[in-house]
Amino acid sequence: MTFAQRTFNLTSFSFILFTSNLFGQIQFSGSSQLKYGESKTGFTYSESLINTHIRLDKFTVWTQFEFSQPPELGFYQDGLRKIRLDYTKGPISLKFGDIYEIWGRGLILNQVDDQSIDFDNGIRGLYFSLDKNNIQWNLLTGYSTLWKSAPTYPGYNNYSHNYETNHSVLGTNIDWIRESFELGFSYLQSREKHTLPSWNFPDTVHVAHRILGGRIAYTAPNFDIFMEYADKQSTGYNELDFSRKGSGFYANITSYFQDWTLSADYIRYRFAHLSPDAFSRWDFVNNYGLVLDFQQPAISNLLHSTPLLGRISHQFDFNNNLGYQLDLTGPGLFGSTLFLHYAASSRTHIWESTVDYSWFKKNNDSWLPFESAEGLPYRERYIEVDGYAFNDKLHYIIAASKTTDITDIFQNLYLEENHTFQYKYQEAITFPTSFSLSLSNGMNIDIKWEYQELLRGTWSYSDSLGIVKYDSLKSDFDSFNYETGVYTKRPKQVNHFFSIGLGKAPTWSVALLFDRVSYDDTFDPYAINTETSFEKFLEQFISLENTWAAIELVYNINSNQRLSLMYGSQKGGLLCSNGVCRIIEPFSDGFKLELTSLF
Amino acid sequence: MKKYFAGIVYILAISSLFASNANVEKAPDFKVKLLSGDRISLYELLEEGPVLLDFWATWCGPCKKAMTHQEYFHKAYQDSGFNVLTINQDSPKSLSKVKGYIRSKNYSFKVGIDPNQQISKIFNAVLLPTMILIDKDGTIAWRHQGFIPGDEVAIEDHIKALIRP
Repeated sequence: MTFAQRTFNLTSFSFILFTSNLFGQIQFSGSSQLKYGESKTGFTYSESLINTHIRLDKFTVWTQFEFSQPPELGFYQDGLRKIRLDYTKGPISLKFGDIYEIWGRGLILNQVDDQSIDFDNGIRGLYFSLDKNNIQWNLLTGYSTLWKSAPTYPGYNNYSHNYETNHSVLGTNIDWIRESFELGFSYLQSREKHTLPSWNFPDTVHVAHRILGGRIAYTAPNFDIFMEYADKQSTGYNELDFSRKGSGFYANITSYFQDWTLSADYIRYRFAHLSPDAFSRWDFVNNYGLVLDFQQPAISNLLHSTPLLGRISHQFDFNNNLGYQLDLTGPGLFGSTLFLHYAASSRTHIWESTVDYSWFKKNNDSWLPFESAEGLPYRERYIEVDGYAFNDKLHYIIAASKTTDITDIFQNLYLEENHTFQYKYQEAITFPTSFSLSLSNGMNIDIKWEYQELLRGTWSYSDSLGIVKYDSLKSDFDSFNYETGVYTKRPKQVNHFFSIGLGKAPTWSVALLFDRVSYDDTFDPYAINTETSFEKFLEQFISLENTWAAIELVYNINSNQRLSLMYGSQKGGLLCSNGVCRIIEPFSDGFKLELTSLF
Repeated sequence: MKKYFAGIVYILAISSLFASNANVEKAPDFKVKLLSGDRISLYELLEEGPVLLDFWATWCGPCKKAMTHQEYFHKAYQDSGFNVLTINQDSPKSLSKVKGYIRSKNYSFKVGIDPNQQISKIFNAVLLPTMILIDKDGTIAWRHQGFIPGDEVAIEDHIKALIRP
């Protein structure tokens, strides 16, 4: 950052503080989040985020400053990160700056700034709204620079994004609301400057995206219905001869029968058809005209917040996905609440490979998800009981989940007399539980235990003249010792997450956390000697082989300030937030501090 | 490292300075769409009496624990004009779960939906749950981040202090 930029940022911040104090009529509020982490193995971060809101009559200014050297995830930043001026007068409102909006269920526009996975699809520009006589009309214009992590682009790592695209965006949305009925139409266009790896010529191409969609919603006493459809076209310009067409459809029906609720979601996203191998399917660098990052539509599986289920989250492919989910909620035994969930999804087509490893679609678009492994099916069954016992002193959640997920196909080759099929397979049975016991004087004990049996590997199948030659799974957890020449079969990984905490409301809580796997499959670039002194102490009492242990303290300094401190190690792996996933490196032998203040 | 801790001290000083003025901070008005399909503004609700705003999501365990108590407060102090307005933060990806959850629990308080966190941003609700108690004149009386069992005692004490004639 240059001296001039730094001076500008400091002046801006000082101006905000000065004006807010000077003028009594100006309302000032804000929050700050300070994060610091330091591990003995080299991973260190310091990140400060300061949000401020200044309100004066019809104007509001929102600013977000970030000072990070470096942040936990993402780029170094030192200064103003976000700014927006809002003006509201009667039915009109105007936003100028960093815009985050949602239209419908996100098939066309759903903008988020999710710091936990460093995903930000905001647009810097202008947003106009008119809300009058049951009509809401919005107009959006601006530009956006989006950063993502791309394994197929130089400079890939797990801490900061390496791939940039630029969008110039224009869109409009209109909703007509009449009592319990809603009708809406949206249009969004983006002119994208799409970057290709530097060895390509040209290394930048230009793609125009146009999305047009509509939605309808109706709320009745005993049911709700919502449907949304979006049609997308992408074409090249500036000498790029390219065209891609696609569409997306989402529907939800929720019905109520006395104390029971049945909710059914159906999705059919076919914005792009990429071959099912891991190299092509997730390659948004060398393929263009795919689903836009501004499109973050509804998904057809659960969002889990427990550690072990979160780690095996289904990576949702917004380009091509077909599925449904059914949720039944109602009263269980002894006053508890019962939740039953079933989800099924797959791709819209079955793909076959050829001897030269190219792919072609075998069938027409399907309307229901495939059972066959050739369609990359995902299945999830989940049951949860949530309730209170012992005069409401004990709160419990007991759940069970079974998921099967075929994530990639390597080969699906049909020749005249034989069939060779190879794919990535994952199956897990998980039992998350949580117990919280209230004691006297505001004291409480909190216990969480999660158990998981995980099967993951490459499934290979081959037949010839109708006779099966092999049909077996090679586990990812199998190991081979090159010194002894011994091959050890490990069909499944058994995982445990256990935490026990003691707290006194509303001031403090302390918790011990243990995350244990039967075989360590984590690649830790900083793993030199990651056994903490805390773990050495604990090992006097329990074995901590393949275990990440940590102690966490939360202290509410007052009602506006909260301090949390973690010491120990945390297992890395897949971290998912709102259906978007990212691999996170482990945190070994160190401490993390976080201070959150409201002011 | 030194710079970092200097930063912490600076932020603490600034936030404490403003925290000392928190008692006179007015809540900004907003309009929110309720699960029932109606739209309501905060100041319309404040005409009846104090309001407890509670920011939550279906994937947030502590939020769900807190909501059992919010229901009790809503029923117990409704006659005094007190209202609980919970603001749901689920994105479109899990929005379809919200109504089913509320119906299954038979909660009677008002539930607003804020899928792109516009309202939580103006109230600086960076953690879930965040509870904000607002007096009927719009003054922010009390805030609390997170929930552990036993916090409900402090919440109720603050509600009682506001509805006392």
